[in-house]
Amino acid sequence: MQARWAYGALLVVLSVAVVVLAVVSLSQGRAPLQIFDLLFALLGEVEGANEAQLDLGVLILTELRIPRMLLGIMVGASLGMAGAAMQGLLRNPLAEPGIVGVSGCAALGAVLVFYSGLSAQFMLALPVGGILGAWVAVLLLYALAGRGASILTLILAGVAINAFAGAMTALVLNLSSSPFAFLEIIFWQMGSVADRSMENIWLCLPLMMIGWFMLWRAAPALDALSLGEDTASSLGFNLPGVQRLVIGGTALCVGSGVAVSGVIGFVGLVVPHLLRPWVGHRPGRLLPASALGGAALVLAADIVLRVIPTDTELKLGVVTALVGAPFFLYLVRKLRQETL
Amino acid sequence: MNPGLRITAENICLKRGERAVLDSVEFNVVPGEVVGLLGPNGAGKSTLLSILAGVARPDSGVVSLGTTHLGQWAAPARARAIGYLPQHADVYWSLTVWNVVALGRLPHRDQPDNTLEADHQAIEQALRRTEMLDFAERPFNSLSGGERMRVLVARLLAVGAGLLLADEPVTGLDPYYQLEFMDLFVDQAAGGAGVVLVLHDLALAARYCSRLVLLNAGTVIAAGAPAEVLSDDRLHEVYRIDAVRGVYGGQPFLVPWQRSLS
Repeated sequence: MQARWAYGALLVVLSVAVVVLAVVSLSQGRAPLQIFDLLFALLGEVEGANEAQLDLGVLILTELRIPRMLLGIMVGASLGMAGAAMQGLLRNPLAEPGIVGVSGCAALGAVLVFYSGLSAQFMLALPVGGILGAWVAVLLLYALAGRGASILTLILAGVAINAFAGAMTALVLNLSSSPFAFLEIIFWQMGSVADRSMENIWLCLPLMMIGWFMLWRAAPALDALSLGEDTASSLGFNLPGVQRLVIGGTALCVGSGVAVSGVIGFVGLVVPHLLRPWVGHRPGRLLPASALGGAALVLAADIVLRVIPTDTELKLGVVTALVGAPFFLYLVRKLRQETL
Repeated sequence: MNPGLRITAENICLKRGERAVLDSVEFNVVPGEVVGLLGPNGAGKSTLLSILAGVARPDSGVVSLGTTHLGQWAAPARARAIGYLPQHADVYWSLTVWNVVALGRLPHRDQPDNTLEADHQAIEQALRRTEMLDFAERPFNSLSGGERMRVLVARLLAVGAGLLLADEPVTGLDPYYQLEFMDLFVDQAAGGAGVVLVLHDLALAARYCSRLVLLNAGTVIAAGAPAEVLSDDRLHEVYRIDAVRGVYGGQPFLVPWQRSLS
């Protein structure tokens, strides 16, 4: 029963971290802002400050920093939770939306929708494109590496799906006549949560929430899957139903996230791996913890890249890849020693 | 424990490709008996057990639990009525022994009258029964093969089902625990459960099971009391072995001795 208490404490600590990082995130940027004054101003308690300056501050806050912070939380939570859920379903600690090509395919879906002009006519087309891309990738992944496949099979499946996404993206680049196409596509390849509007957030939040809910519903079944598919089935879980929840939930939250933020890799790998010992390795409990941890990690990375003095601001996807790729190498090496 | 229910399988057929894995198999278990499911490798024992558990479906034939078709049971209710330990069972994450056994309580999680206290008691009792309570906080992965099997059997017991289906539950255990586990299953049957065990150890099967069913190439060759089923002719025909027989303390026993000279 001590474990239950420790789990509650972990969730509280992670939630506090997310709140603190969110406030820090609001205070970071080119323009120095008195963040607490501005927050009070937003709540309508102005005390004789310079009103023009305050208005500008409020504008920066509501148009730039709040959307950036919210999107960081949403995308981070989606990636962390989806990573944990995919790992639970495939019983494989290396399943991660970026590594296995789900993010790449989602980006491809968004790019296709963007170039077909659909997104200009129909707002929802962009997230829907991302979701369809992600859904195809997770289905492919499950077909190639479902049913307790080895670590190696999963990585090979990821290589194949990433290669497919890469080839299709190159084709789109090749065929596009616009000189801006390169910039636009690279924008999706290097994820970022900067300069997005509240509209983007309202667009993907409902879809993400459905995805989160689906993944959360799968939690007891993911616990049961620790014992393998036959035992899970004998414990009363309908496996095709669990697969639909995880595949659909991952596609919804990662797909709609990538459509707005681009590819932000390795969050779903690093976060569940670090948190797993703290939840007693229980796949169900890992879901909420990884959602909070993912949000905290993306917020933190997004703060770091603003603090580092570079001529052009680093992209979030670049920062997470710089940290995540060596971590991935380390994990592969460690798992090789353990299992192969 | 849930009251045991009679399970009946009628005319079960299953094909994998062209090969008939099970062909017109009849099988039933009533509460209170320990049925040994025997047969050489590839006879269809594990497949039959997974069909009884509701995990696999036959191509044709009917399985009934109590008076109701197994397919018509709601999955959680079925999961509370039938405990199933598949062959080569394993645990994928580094869960503690306690948390592995706790997974056996998952079918009870939505029951209105189930409490944390009831879960706790069932887990503790199962661990005590398998002598693994001292290992409760150890990671499953750090245990030896025999200890793992004891945890998996504890997980099976924690369900509290009235029908227990276990596929080779004593494989990999040392002789002490083989005997201990056979006693455990006999106790469960005495408490009102129906028990089906897939076994390869003919001596244990003959000594502990109240009834044996002998499968070969997907068909039931013989069913009945151990002494009838394990006749010299059948051992020769099905297993291609000869056994040495004797009597100890008034009870007959047999020991597989040599491959039959065909």
